[in-house]
Amino acid sequence: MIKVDHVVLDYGLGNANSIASCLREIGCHVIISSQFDQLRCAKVIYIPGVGSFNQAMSKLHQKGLVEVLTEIKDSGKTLMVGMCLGMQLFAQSSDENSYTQGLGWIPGHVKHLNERVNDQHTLPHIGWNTLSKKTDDSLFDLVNPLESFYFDHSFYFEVDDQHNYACTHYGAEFTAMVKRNNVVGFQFHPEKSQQAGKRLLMGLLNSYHIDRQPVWITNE
Amino acid sequence: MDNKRIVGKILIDRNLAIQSKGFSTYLPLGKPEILAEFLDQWQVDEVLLIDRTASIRGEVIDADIISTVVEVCRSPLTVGGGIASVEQAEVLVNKGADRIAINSELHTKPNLVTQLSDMLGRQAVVVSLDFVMQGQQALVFDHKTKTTGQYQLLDACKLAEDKGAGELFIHSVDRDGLGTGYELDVYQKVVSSVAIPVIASGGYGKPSHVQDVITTGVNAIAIGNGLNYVEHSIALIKAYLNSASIRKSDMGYLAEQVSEEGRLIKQQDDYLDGLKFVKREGRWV
Repeated sequence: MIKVDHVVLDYGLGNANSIASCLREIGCHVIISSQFDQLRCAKVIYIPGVGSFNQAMSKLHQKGLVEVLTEIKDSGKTLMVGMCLGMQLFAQSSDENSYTQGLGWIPGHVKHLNERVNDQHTLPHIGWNTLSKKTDDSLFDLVNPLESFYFDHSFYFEVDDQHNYACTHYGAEFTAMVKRNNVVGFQFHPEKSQQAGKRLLMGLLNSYHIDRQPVWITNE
Repeated sequence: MDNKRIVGKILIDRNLAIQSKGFSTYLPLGKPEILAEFLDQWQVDEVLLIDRTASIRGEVIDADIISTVVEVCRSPLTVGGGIASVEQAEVLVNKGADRIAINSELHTKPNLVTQLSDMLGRQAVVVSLDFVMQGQQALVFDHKTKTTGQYQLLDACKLAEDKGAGELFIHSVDRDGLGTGYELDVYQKVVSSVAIPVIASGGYGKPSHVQDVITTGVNAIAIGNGLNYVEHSIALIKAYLNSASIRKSDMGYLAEQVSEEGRLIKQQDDYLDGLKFVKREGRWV
């Protein structure tokens, strides 16, 4: 079997294809898969997300992915990257549609933006916005502080300050990026943020010393 | 920050990109992925890909076109054309669409909007409405039958919002392809009657039209034909507007280099001569 370092999780909800083609552009060899053995030997697992929280969790449960992903994450060897909804899934719970439990990898809850944002701003939050760093981390090395990223969401992740790495401002300040050990999540879509997004992903992989060049490991 | 978006519209008929004038005259433009690639390189804020004839043919926009476009386009992508079920929408999202646009199904299957927004989240559902002016009234135009229905535009907008739409795409049929500016009054009324973001479309002719329509409070401005005949069109429009509410393009154009029509002004000959030996530092790509 061919084993690949970069795996985009295919759980039936989300734009796996656009993440994969963005990663290919920055030189990664990438596959889209939900096979347990391929996930177990990946160095990075990307969790896409265009969808609603409860649907995403029920699809993960259906495919038995919750236990497998948690086991892989607990091993500490694999970097888990969540994008948009994929990042919100790291939370303990969400209010979207109905109260749903998340993966619980990062303490915090997902709440509707209308709890924070004032009436002058239309919701959902759709558009390009800048980040304000909360911590100096080498993953921001390649990103210009004035660059903006593409946001498209109605809910936000309310998280402890220690895990909040960057915020954005739209009517109010809320989390744009979370990180806890080997779990990293973006509220925006780096794969849809043109050059800025590509540079951010390269910085992320560099900061975890993950090779972007095609690495083929054959087993048996 | 409250950033307005400049949306690049690509209208297709099966796998051919076309240009539309008044919903009656159509000209071929070429492959949609080439248009998308250029818009992406010129730092458009979003690409809208609509199959005009899909719903008339009774089909859905071809998922393979989405795959080819996503290969070359790193910008957000909204896709529409004949989508009549949640399953069809899921396939398109899986191929790389970020958002799904629904048009005539708002009236034939209003619950589809609700189902889509339950499955994909409200932010991924765009309701697109075409309108014509009859006196002072804006009426919804049915592109299948090419007739004006009985629906008032504002009622349809409120219906879409109630059903769970995350954004409205409001297109003027009268001004489609004419380049005479946007129907400002209508957007003003739509913006004040709904709480969700609105995309204004139909009528772009020059950058100042964008400036005018921003004042109505819309969140995004869609441009179709106006982008396809000028090199670096998006970057030039952004430079001309030089507005704090529009994301800057980093292609290095200055406002004074762009003409009122959104084209690059020719520099003086001695200035151009001096450029021959300037060493440009390469940017990482």
